[in-house]
Amino acid sequence: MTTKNTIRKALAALATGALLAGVLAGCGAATAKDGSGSGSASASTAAYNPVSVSGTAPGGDLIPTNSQESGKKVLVWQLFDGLVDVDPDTRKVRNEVAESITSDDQQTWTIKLNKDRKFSDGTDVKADNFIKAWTWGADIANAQIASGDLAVIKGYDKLHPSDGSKATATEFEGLKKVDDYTFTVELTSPYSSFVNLLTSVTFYPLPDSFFKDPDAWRKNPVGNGPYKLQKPVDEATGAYLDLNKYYKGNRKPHNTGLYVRFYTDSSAAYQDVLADNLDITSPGGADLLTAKDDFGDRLVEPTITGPNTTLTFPMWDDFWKSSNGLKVRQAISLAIDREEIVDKVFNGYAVPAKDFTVKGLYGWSDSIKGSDVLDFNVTKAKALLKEAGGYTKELPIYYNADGAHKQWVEAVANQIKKNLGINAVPKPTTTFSDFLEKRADHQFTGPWRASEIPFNPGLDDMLRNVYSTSGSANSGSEWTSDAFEAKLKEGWQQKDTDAAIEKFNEAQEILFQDLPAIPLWYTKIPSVYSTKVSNVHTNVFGSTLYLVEKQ
Amino acid sequence: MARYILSRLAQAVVVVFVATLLLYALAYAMPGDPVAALAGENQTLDAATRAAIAAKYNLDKPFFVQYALYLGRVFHGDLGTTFAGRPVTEVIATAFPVTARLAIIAIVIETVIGVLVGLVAGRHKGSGFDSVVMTITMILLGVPSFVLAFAVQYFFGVKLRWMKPTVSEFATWGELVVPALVLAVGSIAFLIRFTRSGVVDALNSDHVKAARARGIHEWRIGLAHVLRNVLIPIVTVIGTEFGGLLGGAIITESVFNIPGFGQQVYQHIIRGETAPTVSLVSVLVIIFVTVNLLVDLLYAVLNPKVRYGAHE
Repeated sequence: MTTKNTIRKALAALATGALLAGVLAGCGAATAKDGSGSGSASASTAAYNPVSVSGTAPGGDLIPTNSQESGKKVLVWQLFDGLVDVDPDTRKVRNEVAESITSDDQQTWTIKLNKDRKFSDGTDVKADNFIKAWTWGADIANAQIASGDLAVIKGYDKLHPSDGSKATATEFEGLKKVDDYTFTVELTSPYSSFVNLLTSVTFYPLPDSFFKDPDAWRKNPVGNGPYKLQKPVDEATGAYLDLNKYYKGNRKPHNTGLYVRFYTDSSAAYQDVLADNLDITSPGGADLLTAKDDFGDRLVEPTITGPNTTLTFPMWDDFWKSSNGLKVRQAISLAIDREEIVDKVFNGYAVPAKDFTVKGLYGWSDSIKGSDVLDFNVTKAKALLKEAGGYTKELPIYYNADGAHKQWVEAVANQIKKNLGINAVPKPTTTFSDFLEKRADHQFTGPWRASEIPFNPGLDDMLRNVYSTSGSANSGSEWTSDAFEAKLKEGWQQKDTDAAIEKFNEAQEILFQDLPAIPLWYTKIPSVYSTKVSNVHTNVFGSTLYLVEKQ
Repeated sequence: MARYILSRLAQAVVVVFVATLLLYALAYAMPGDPVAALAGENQTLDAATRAAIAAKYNLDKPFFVQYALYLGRVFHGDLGTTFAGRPVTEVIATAFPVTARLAIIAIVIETVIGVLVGLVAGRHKGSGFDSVVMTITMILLGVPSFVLAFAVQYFFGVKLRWMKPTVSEFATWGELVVPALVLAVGSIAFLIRFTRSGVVDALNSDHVKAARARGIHEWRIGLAHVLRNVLIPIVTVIGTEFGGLLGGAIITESVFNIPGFGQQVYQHIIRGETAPTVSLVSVLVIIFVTVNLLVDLLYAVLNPKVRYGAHE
């Protein structure tokens, strides 16, 4: 990864010497002139000077229940406002479209809406816009990617039978309209984190025009967010966003608009920000190594670090299920010097992990019982391996080669080899989807790399989504524990947030006992920005682009 | 000649048809599950949703059924739809002109610089100019185009700011000059060397010596005896280099963020979208086949000795 940048810089010198320089001098001047008219599409508003950010082509429509992929989320976050969102300062949930969200039993929730909120087409945001959007999103006929988020609501199984058959209901049993601006949500079981869950894009409303003609809406999406699309998204180049003049929420933009420019190579975006040709991007790969030198104080680090990178084990495998398997996992965890890899491979853009969630969440703790298995302790590791009767087979570590994982997987494999004498071998798959397919087919016999990020600011979200069968259990390890499920359920019955968090961290103790996955570190993905903008923040639970100011 | 053209056209149709089948097979065999790719890094998809999405895009059907469905649609003028719901014809219509501009500039640059410098260097073999050209072309041939692309982008775009590091959404002719030059560099160096050796050979040939002996003016020798003989193989070289140009465009477009054909092909491959990938790459195949057909015809025009079909 580093070589690309070194080569690039070294060869910059070479390029000058060649006859190219003369030719380029002529063309270059002309190019700079031609390129300056990029904002011409915005002639309608004289002061329109959008903050430009890098993105990726969304590759699909922008229906919120269909928007899991990051390229879509960046747009959906601007175009919609949910019932609640995450305050970038306190990192707690605050009301947006909702005026209040209350429950006595954590199972039936009453949601009252603010009456002054409108979609960018001028129509009101009413209870029906939420009820209909969630019902449409849950209906199996519409095959929405994120429909699973709605499974906490009573009646989901009738709209979305798990056997793939057609829906047996047209209404969402758990959703009841009280009046135009009030509705109730009945969940399948008490779930105190429902308010956290409501921050995800799946729970955004859709305007009446969507239900009249979904295909027309797909081409020109209308939402209730701080921004609206100036014209349909150009899949090849990007999306221009104007202010939504009807917007009344907390995220009042400090700028005149946004331009989300699509890139296929993150390095091109990085060069553009260096040259003030783009305002904000997140550096990746080799650029991360030079970002601090290149940008100095124009680099912001996130307040919530994540994703949490883990080595997750195939718990369907007889050996890894056994008590000796557990000891080998503990030995492996103790044999990894996380500090060293964080420094050398991630150049400090990661923090050694202390739990199964991400650092910075409300309620996060670095001293959960059993978390000492994440310390670096070779003596203890060797003793545990001996107790387990050793491990003589090859230990494959699977990762997808289309992500930037090779370096750290090799580093981890080397440490395991050096400190334990286990023959750890990195095994790449070509793409991430190939990786998932092989994992689902049980072709993995050893640990694989995983990185998990919470969808909402609840400490329990990752525990539920990644490890619990009441979520999607998407760690893929097929680990299950009744004790773990019981602790989560206890937490969800608590009215008091701190009492709930205590239970969630007790659930983590069970994860540490069984260790189906070894937490490694929380990655910090910074943002870098041009000299033209200020007040740049990063936030994993929504966009803070509305805060950015541009000269 | 007409018969020759017809038979070549018939061949081209077969080539394109076989290419779509092969491409479809390759795209089908691509590892990974496109549905999983749609879901992003966080896999919260349940089996029922997965199956419903797969059915929507015919991903659940066997290979030949998928291919037959695809071909059936193609004959009705429907090249498929992307996951984003955009017709592939529209993708082609917007992305193709951009890459066409890039390719045209690259071909013009490589032809003009390559042939002119090659002619001069060959004419003055062993001169100072010749040895400088030979050294530079040697270096340029050794530098991979993506390395040069990054170097040019960093030095001229970021350090000197003579140009923007990437191309705007409009990808104008002016903006594409530098990327086209980078794209053409390998071909320029090759063409210079090719032309130069052609000129050197021609100047040493018997018919040029004879012409000189007859007292024909150097200019006339240069135009009628040297240039004409040198140009014939050059046309073929430019034709084959064109294929490399289309391949190289994927890298150049990615580095300079040019919203062209290569970027689209890349994105649809990454997402595992079979029909759009096959349609887009087939367009490249058609262009490549057409260009080569044109080159062969031009060859006949330039070289009367090669009268196609004359032997019939």
